[in-house]
Amino acid sequence: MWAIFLRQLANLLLTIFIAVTLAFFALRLLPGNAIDAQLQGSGLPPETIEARKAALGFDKPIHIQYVDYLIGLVSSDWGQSLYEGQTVLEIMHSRLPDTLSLASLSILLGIILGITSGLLSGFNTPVSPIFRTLTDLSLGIPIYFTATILLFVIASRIGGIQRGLFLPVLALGFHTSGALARIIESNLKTIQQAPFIQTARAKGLSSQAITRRHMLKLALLPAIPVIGLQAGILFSGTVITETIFGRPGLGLLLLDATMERDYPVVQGVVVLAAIFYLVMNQIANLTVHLLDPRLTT
Amino acid sequence: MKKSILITCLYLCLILIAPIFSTHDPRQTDATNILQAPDTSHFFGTDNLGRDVYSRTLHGGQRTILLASAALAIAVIPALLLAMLNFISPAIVDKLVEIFLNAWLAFPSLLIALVILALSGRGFMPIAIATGLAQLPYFLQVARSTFKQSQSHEYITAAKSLGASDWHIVARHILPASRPTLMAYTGITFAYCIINSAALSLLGLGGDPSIPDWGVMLATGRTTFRVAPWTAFAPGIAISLTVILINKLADSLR
Amino acid sequence: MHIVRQLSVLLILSLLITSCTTGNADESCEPPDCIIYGLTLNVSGIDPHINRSTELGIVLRNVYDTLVYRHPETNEFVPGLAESWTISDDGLTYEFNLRQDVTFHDDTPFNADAVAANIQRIFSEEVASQRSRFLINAVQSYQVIDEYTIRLILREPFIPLLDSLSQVYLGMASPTALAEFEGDQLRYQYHQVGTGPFEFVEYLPEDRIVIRRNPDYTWGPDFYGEPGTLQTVEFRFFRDAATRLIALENGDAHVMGEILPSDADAISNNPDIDLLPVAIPGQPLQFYFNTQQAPTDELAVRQALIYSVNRAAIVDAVYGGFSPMAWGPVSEPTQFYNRAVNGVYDYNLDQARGLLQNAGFSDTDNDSILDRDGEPLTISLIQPPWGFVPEVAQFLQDQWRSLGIDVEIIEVAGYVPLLEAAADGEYNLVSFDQPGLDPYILSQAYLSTSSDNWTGYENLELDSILTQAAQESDREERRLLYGRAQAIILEQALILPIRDYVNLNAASADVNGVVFDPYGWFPLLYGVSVEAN
Repeated sequence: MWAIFLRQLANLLLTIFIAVTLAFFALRLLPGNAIDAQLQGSGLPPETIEARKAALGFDKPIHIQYVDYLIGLVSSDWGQSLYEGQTVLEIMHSRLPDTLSLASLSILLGIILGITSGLLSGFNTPVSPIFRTLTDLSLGIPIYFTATILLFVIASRIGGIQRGLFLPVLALGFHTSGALARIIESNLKTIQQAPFIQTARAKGLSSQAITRRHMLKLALLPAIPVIGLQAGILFSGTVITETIFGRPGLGLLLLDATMERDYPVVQGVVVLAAIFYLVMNQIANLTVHLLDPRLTT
Repeated sequence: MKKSILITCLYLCLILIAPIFSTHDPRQTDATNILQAPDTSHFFGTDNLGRDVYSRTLHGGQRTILLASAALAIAVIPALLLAMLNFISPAIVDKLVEIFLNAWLAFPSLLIALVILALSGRGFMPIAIATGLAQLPYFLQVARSTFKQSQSHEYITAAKSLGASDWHIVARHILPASRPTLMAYTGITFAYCIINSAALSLLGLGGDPSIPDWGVMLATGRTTFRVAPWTAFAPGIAISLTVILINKLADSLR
Repeated sequence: MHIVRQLSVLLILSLLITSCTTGNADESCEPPDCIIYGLTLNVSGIDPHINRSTELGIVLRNVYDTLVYRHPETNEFVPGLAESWTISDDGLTYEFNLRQDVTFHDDTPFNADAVAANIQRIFSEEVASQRSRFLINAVQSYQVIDEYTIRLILREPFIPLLDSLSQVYLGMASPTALAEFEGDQLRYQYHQVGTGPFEFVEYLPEDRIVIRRNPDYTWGPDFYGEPGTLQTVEFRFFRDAATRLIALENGDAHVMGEILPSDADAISNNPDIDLLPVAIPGQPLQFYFNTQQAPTDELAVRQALIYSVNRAAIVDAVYGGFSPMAWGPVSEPTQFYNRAVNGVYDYNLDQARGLLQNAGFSDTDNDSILDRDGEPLTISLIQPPWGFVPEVAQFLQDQWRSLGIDVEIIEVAGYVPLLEAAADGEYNLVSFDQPGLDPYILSQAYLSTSSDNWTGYENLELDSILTQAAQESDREERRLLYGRAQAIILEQALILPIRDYVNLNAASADVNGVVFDPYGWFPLLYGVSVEAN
């Protein structure tokens, strides 16, 4: 038991380490430098600007900066924002709740909507065409459009919800449900044609029994990793939703900080996004394992 | 089934040749005629720069489809190959792939796109690459897990015990068994490619904003929706219709 | 379908949970005691001594007082924290007699030492001020004469000093608070302390900035009049333009800037919302020509580029008739605006064609792009996302294309990417501008020694005019000098002026008393009251 736990932990840490390293070096590939940009209009002499950079450790060779950063990560010193006057941890702390609530509720809605939609589309029910169209719309319409329509139609009539969670969760949840619904629908179709189903039918098992035991599990199991994926990418993929609904989340932080080359903040977001994704993924994997030990992914 | 394949293919061909039906130069602005309602001279009205929405929609389809297709190819082909390689490789490779793939997936795709665009400039290929690379790990993950799940089917175990070679198993059993899910996910990926490439423009990272592109048109049409809803309806319906038909196609090819 | 039924129940439950969780801290800001004011741009830093954005001024103009103020109607300098002042004959010494009844929000008394502490801070290298320091760069030293008298000694005469001292970037902060953040200057912005009619409560980046009325405020400039009943202002961010009017309509915001021109019609039809357009003095929305990069290194090309665009039509289309077209390097409300610039380089397609032809350009290979010596005529334009520049740029691109000029638009997503794109100097046009009432802002943009010089243009005559004008105490003489500067800038076609800035504000009809200071962007909230329904 412990061995498995430790191994998983090691995997997690290794993955985060790689992600953070990628972020660290990828950022330095971007042209431009935060300090230069910030101080351009200030009329400060070049020597002062260089001194500033040195004070922040930018003059050290890059591998030393990297090692310093890693040491800092582990010792809870994630660095200081280059602009905001707060430590990266403080910024994460203030922005995280917003994103967390948005992401988790959207995932929940997305899963429920996705499974419902997928099941109702896969089994030939009278409402199947409606749900298939809904799935198509969920995949085909960009979220910025749905979000704006929701705002126009709902928010302009009802006060107080423009900045609430209801509309963005509705929009995000709707749009993450599509992929799940499609996969489940596809699985269902496959299973319905599978030989062992025919066999079971031939043996005289009632339709409902067949549905319950075999088809559902087989249809839903392969979809769980997709949930893990969707959930993971939701975290920092919420930029557009945050812009439109004016929410101070981590997606917008990532965009702004990257634009301004605020390296420590970007790296902080990457670490959080990585952790969130991995946690979601583990939950998905565990669910699969619990439901069918043969299918460890 | 056959009928929907035919319809979708016809539709795609129509989109690709659509520009010949346009009535105006899609980039021709007209400052004196902005946000005009649809009429006989402008079938879909004009946008906020006085450009003919009808012609822009026709031209935009070509670019949108080509861009999404390029991104799709960049995402799907390497992912499939890697998944197959991964499948027939020893377990240690699988473990390594898992770790690196997870790291890639955990990494915000926005950042990847930003770096690629910053390094390679704007334009068709960089956007296609940025969008495609963002989708690649997802497809790879789905492919890997689908392959693994197919692996547990009885006829695979049977084939293995009969001494079939790895490639044989992959080609004859795993791939066909995975086809439904992979086709479904291809359809999904295509839809995401269309939308994500437009999202890049929305965030100010796109290329030339005057080039007609459905996603970009939808994003700008959204701001004038109140006074000129046709600026958003045309590209919106176009995108939705395309996605619906593509997914029908993916369905038929299972 | 049993499981579907279960799922539907879950679905409904989760929707209910979500809708219940919408009640957050927002509900605590309700009129008539509190209003929500919409900000529109992302800000990276709101310290007026450090940062240069106008967004921060919208908030902090009400938290800080300045030594002098400009009267909103006459633009003349009136007493603020300084009761009176004298200027020496040689223009090098300014002596300010400070009010004696002022205290900071943290009860620190305001005096000459406090002013000294602020000046020291602005000049410190730690702070690396992006705007304040430039505004008072001519100050060489200061002298505290007595508790309420301070002298500023300049290294050369600098007429715009009072103008600088009246801007929010020279707001007076509490020395006690400043000392607390001595080693961590960037953190002060979260705990700002001034003397103004409102106290700084909190700043949550990207979320909100909150200020609350200072009940002890009795030292406002005369034109402040009677205090309003408004107690708290919550500033929130509305980066997406499409959401701004919606917020006003449903009461999620009560005042908002930068409304979309296409939304203005909806406002005029809505009795509950008032449109408040405010003209902003300073540089207009414009494009600088890079005179160091071909083909814009040739005067004829630059002039042709200006002649060939129908700017009036573009401005009308993009700004809905709310902004006048700009003719020169400063907009009409700016001091010493030279009327003679009106009509210069008016739309004239034939003139443009003639200029290019004389410069040797023609379409020799029939690709509808003009060329010369085998090189096609192409220009690149750096386009930031703010102020509808993208729309303007696309109009320009199209109009130049029909002239035979190939235009490459380089989109940049923000200020830092803009600087990066311009760093290699390979652009032909770039959009950038600064607001301000005193045309001294021209020095920052056009002096060949300035680090903010985007045109790369060097002209000794222009340099000496601008330098002289900043030192000239005679008003008429200044007017002539700046008039000449504007003329030179246009003669040399250094810019493509587009429009005079007009900020389209809108406010709920219940909100009374919002006035904007002479610099245009900044609301004075002292007298605001909200009618209770």
